[in-house]
Amino acid sequence: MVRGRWLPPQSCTCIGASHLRNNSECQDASDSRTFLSLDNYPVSTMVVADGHGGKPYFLSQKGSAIACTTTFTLIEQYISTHIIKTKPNLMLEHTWFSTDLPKQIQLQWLVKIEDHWRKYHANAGDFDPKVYGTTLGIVLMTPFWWGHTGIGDWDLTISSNNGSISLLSEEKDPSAPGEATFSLCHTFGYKFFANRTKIYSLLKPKESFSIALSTDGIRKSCSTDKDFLLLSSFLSKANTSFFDVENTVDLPNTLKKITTEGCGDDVSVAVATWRLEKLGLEALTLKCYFIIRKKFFQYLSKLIRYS
Amino acid sequence: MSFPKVQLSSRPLHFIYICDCSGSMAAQGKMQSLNQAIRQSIPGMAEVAHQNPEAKVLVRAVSFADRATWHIQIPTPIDNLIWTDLKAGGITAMGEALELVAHQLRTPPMEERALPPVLVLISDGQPTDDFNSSLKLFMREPWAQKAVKLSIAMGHDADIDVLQKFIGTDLDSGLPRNEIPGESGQLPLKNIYKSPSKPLIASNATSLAQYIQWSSTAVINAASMPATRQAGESSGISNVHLPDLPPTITDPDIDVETLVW
Repeated sequence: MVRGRWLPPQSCTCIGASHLRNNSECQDASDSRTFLSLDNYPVSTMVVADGHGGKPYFLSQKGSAIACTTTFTLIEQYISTHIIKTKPNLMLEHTWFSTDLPKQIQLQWLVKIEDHWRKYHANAGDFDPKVYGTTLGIVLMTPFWWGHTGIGDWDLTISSNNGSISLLSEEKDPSAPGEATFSLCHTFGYKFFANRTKIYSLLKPKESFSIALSTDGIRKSCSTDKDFLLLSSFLSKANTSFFDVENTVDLPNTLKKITTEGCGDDVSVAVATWRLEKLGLEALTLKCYFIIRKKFFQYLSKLIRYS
Repeated sequence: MSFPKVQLSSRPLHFIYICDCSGSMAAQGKMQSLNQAIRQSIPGMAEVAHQNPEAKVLVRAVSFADRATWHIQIPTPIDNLIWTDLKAGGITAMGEALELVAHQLRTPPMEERALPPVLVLISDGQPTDDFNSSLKLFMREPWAQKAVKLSIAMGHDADIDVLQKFIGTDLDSGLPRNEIPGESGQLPLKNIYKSPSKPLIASNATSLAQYIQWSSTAVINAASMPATRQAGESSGISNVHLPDLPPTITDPDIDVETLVW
């Protein structure tokens, strides 16, 4: 018998080598958290956000940080009040994940950045969300399904146990001049989330896999896409062996190396592993015990009710 | 766990001079001034490249007269750049030069992860070929659209309209489309704060040297770290926020009689 489970996700951000040299702030933000659903299932979330930087987006480091916290708050609210069914309706989850959640994220984000503006920059003129411009990549992992959504030029790769690595989601070139990306500060930014949304069922497990969600600094630091995929696969091993230090990737130092030898931009990555485990005799016995106990109590409660 | 065999690399920044070598460039020492200005700018360019190790500055040059040819064909790291003098003679195949550059702005040979290239068009006259058709072909290339495009007019005989078309319409100036800077006095070039989205007019060897120096140092510096920007914004807004022009810039309202060129 096999059972799959998510290992706790990890995330890390490293200020870009060029930003360090120029005394500019890190515009990236990343984080990962685990919440409990109403029916007590662990649901993990990881996010990366990349503030645009530069003069027109001079508060984008705040924009990216606020985007992350807003996402967590909203996901926690949803998850803690919902039952994560063993046979989920993926269509319903997709609607929430691709439309409802993005709308709420952008709305809340706008409220929060406006608060920030009024608090610290009110004298600088009228509030303009553009100065907080950021991208946002989100991965949500339940025991029964997982999915990704977001806006902007983040990348998501998947590497499976059999050695295959592929790019699962990337922003298609919006064919605008310069290094343009879709942004949360766009008037209808939430509409762009749908293109980057996909949900995958975990009900028929086949093999273990790892995913790496990264900001564009990592991809731009690699010479080719092949290099990027190899690097992502390597980074995603950061949380595969918690107790095996020798086989664990040191994320902070690895990211530092990437930005120093690469494009010099801020770099962020969030990684997670879904591990398929064969249940041993001990685990099977325990599972049988819980099933029998549950049936027994159900029978007992029926008896009490009828008597 | 050891780092995988992955090639990390700085991002290439292609810098391409597109130089007019028509017969008129031989007059009044223009050709000599251009050669000297480019040669003198190389140490400063190298210094900026060293200060921005995340960008690998690679220089090329196209010359155009009767035909357009690569003066420096291979993208050359700035440290290895040796400038061989351009020679004047012939007509002005500017359109052909753009087509030549356009071929090199395709991917491949352009790297997917390159920084927006910097293209500097320098001319003292008017194109003698079908410039508009060539410009259309040129602008079809995504890297041409993403490029930081600058143009330098050597003297007031240069076709400013053509040079303006090369860099695109100045959407932010508040001036009428295609208006020559300084013509109406609304926005004198010397007071410009942002990127010069008008052709730079070099009236003599000194101002030419300043513009070349500026485009090969300050612009390279800015292009090394392009800011991401929101997709869907006006296409006239570049993601490379160019620094101010040198303070001793020539005023376009200057009395023409005092011009050397």
